[in-house]
Amino acid sequence: MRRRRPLRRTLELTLEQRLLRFLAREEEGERQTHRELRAQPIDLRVIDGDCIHDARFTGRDGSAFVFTCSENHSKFRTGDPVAVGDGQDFDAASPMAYAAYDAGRSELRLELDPYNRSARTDFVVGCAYVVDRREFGGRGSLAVAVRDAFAFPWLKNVLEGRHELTCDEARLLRARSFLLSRGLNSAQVEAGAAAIATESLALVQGPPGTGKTKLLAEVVAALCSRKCRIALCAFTHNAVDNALLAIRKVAPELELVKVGGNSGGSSEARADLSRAGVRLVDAKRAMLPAESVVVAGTCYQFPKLQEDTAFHYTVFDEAGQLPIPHALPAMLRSKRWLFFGDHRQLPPVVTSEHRDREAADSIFAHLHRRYGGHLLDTTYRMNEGVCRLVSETYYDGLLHAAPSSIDRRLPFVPGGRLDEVLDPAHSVVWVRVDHRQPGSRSHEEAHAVADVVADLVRQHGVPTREIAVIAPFRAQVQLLRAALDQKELQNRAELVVDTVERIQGQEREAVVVSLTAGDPDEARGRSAFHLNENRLNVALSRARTKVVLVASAHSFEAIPGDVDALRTASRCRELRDRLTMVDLTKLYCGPVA
Amino acid sequence: MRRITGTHVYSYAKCPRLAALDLSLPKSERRVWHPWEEFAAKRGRDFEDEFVATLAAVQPEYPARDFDRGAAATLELLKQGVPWIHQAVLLGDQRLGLPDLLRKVDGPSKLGSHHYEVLDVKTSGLARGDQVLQVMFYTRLLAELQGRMPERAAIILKDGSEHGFATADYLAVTRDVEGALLRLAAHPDLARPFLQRGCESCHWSDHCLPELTAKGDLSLVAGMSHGARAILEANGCRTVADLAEFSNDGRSLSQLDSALVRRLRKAAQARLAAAPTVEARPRQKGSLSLDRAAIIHLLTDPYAGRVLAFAVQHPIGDDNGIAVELPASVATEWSALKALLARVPTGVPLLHFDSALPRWYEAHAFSREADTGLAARFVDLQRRLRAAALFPEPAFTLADLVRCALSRDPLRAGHWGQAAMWAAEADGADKLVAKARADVQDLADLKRRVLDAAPTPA
Repeated sequence: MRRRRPLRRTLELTLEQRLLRFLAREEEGERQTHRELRAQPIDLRVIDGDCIHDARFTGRDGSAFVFTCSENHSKFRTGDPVAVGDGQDFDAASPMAYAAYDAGRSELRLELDPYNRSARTDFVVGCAYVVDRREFGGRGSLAVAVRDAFAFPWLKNVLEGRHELTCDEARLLRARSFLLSRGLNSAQVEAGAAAIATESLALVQGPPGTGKTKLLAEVVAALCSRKCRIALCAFTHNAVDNALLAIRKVAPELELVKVGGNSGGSSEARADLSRAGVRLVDAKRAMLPAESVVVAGTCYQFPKLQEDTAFHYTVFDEAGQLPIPHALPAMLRSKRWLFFGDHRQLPPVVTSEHRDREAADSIFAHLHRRYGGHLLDTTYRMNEGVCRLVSETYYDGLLHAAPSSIDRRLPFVPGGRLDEVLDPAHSVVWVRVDHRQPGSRSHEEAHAVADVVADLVRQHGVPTREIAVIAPFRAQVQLLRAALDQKELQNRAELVVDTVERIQGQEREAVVVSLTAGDPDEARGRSAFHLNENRLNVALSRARTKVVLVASAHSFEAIPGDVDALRTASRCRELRDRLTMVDLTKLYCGPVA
Repeated sequence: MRRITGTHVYSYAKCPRLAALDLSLPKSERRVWHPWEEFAAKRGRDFEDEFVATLAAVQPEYPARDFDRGAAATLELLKQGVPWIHQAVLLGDQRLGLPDLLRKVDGPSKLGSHHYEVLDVKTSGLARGDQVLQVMFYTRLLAELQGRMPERAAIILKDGSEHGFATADYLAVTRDVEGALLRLAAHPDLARPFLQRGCESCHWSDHCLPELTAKGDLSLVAGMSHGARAILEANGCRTVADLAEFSNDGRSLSQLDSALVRRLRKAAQARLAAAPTVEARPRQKGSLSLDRAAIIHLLTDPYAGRVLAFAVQHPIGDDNGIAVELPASVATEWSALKALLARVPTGVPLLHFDSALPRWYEAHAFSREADTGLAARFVDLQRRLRAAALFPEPAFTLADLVRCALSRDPLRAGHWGQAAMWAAEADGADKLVAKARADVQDLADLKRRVLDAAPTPA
């Protein structure tokens, strides 16, 4: 009688079909999103954050096209493709790239689209334009990789959970003693040895601050010392670069190659890699050594390598962010796979809603459900208070703070305006600001966050480079940046203010999180996103000693209709009940609260 | 004060006002059920009886509505350790739970070496949040009785499968909802009405809707949210009439986005004018143009998971161009749709309403014929209409849109909920065809009068 709820029709499909359906829905979803955007009136596009209205051209400043606009609530990021026109005729609009917005000066800067430099740019000074989101285009298909993977019986069995894990016992013993000699802790040694000794696959789950990337580097260096040719794959350039730089620290002489590295990622990151002796090559023309080399790239680069290019191992970093189909091109290049990640941190980015949620899972979560993994259980980042909250909420109490970090405390000089909030006796504090703002922005929270940061810097002497401000929505990030600019803090540029996606992998002494959504209706619709456990885990666990969560009580009131979203909402209420609360509603909200 | 029951929990998840009225007003004041609502409820009861009959479950015996005696009889059965208990009575402070089933499981408790977990029988195909909350309400009552929180609970779905879940995952939200309900039981006035999806079919609609209309409540404005209403009211804008004349920019309204204020103000004006305001939108060219589109519509029986009728109109507006197919079973649904689509040129956009068609397609396309190109032609008319115009009232359903934009009775060929009833009647096919044709005509007229119309002059 006890049967698990089936996705009835899903059960009729093979995993291959489900993955193909996932890809088709993703592609279709993205296409439809843009098609529908082009059918909406301007106000709706503005409300949704996909448009900037009434941008007046003032002239050029070097490569930048400068506009003034009093309101910019858009979700645009630097580099996003935009179209500039009358807001009615998208085909006639000029393709440009979003550069920056200075809220203090109401100044918007756009640049030429690097892929479309011949765009019309005869903007008239003083004229008002509408800036709209534009499609990326040119999205590659991963369907071929899915079909290839399932035509390959060894890989098919692994993906379908029908593979039996085996390891080379002799290699396991040798790896243990080697890794012990590298000063790793016992959980790291066990996980690393299992990875080195596996005959097929191994999963290493690395919660925040547990040295996952350091262990990856040690494992890769150990394998390369035995003449292995390693493929290193991640979803983002940032993750690929971090892993490469970590390997360089451990293996100064090892040959490191990044495919697609001469065009992808930021110019600063490319310079860092070059300084570290990483060779940046074009994937299609790369001449790769046969042994003792690490060939790294994002998941989109591996299909471009020559067809017969194979590796002894494929190593994935941040595998919790990699959708299953995206892992397959790199998996097809070897018969042994090592996955480093954490399915309790950021999930893969998907653009459509998928009822078949397992097909939309990450490769790490998918394989972890079937084969389990090794948990790194000691964090060297968080102090006792932050670690306890994160551990109990997201890791079933299995994560512990290392002795070196357990008693760390935030600098504190009594006598500030927000002493109750910043008292180091409470590592995690909820600043309650009961606004009801609809949409993706809250001025109330922005002001509260700016005051907390200003107090941290001026009263308690925390350097701006040691503070991060995180919000779930880009529109709120813009508002926070503007509010912080008004504080005129020294070294303001060193203060990170961004969404949680942009800050994964980083750490700071203090983290201030703005939960933003205050309208119960909005909170209900968006709770799966803004209250998402993985995202909150990442946000909270960036901190070494202090987390300040600024949020409206109404944020937690949502009762979503979807059972998974309801579970998320419930777990968030649990989290709320564990926090020390300081109610500053009267200070930051008007009569609406 | 009335006892809080699982039904109140279920109601609260939909609307706090619904729960407050359920708790404070006599049942006799509720709207009488329509026959199709009775029909659906009977199917639910029959399914539960059918399911329970397979379990040899024991039912506590007690005089009707004497819940104290029922609770005592239930406790006796719990102590005896019978494998299944049907319609147990669980009593707590001001709370009463009547779960469909309790199942005995191993593990010590105040009852002995065993304890129980809750199962509730539902007629839906997928578990929903409100159902989980209801089961959790029963679970907490059961935990007090047996001195142990069961690790699991479950919902039985319409195909007899079990949606099990960990009770720990939902405890915090259940505690909060119970707390809110206790406050509402003491002070029902805490819950103000708010016009939302589902109000039309609510049994208190005769109560709330006139109240909202009399007050000119802001929730009568399309696009309003609870948060926006609170902010507007706090700034002295309390009625639809106030909002329609509101002249300040967004910044004075607790910094509500000015684009949102503009849109809400236009919606308030549309309500006062009792006509939609058509908005200027980007020009749709080439493949984005809907000039050559077809309409595709379906009537379903959600309980049976069946499509009862597919209808297609091409060209739009041509009543002779409407074709209807009535699939005899799930197995023939795909071929029925294919037959209809053969009448429509390849590549023509297919205008449908809401998510019923894409959902049906997703469930079928990959297990039958992988015609993935078809999904690329779907265009949601509801979404387009909402973007194209500000309607005089929040339009949640096709019926709402037809009423407020076409001033026509949307139920002239019957209510969509009747479709499942008709399928079992001798002349049901004619009614299904008539309803499908009426809906398609409404969709075509909505397209013509809203999507194809010139923007309303400012």
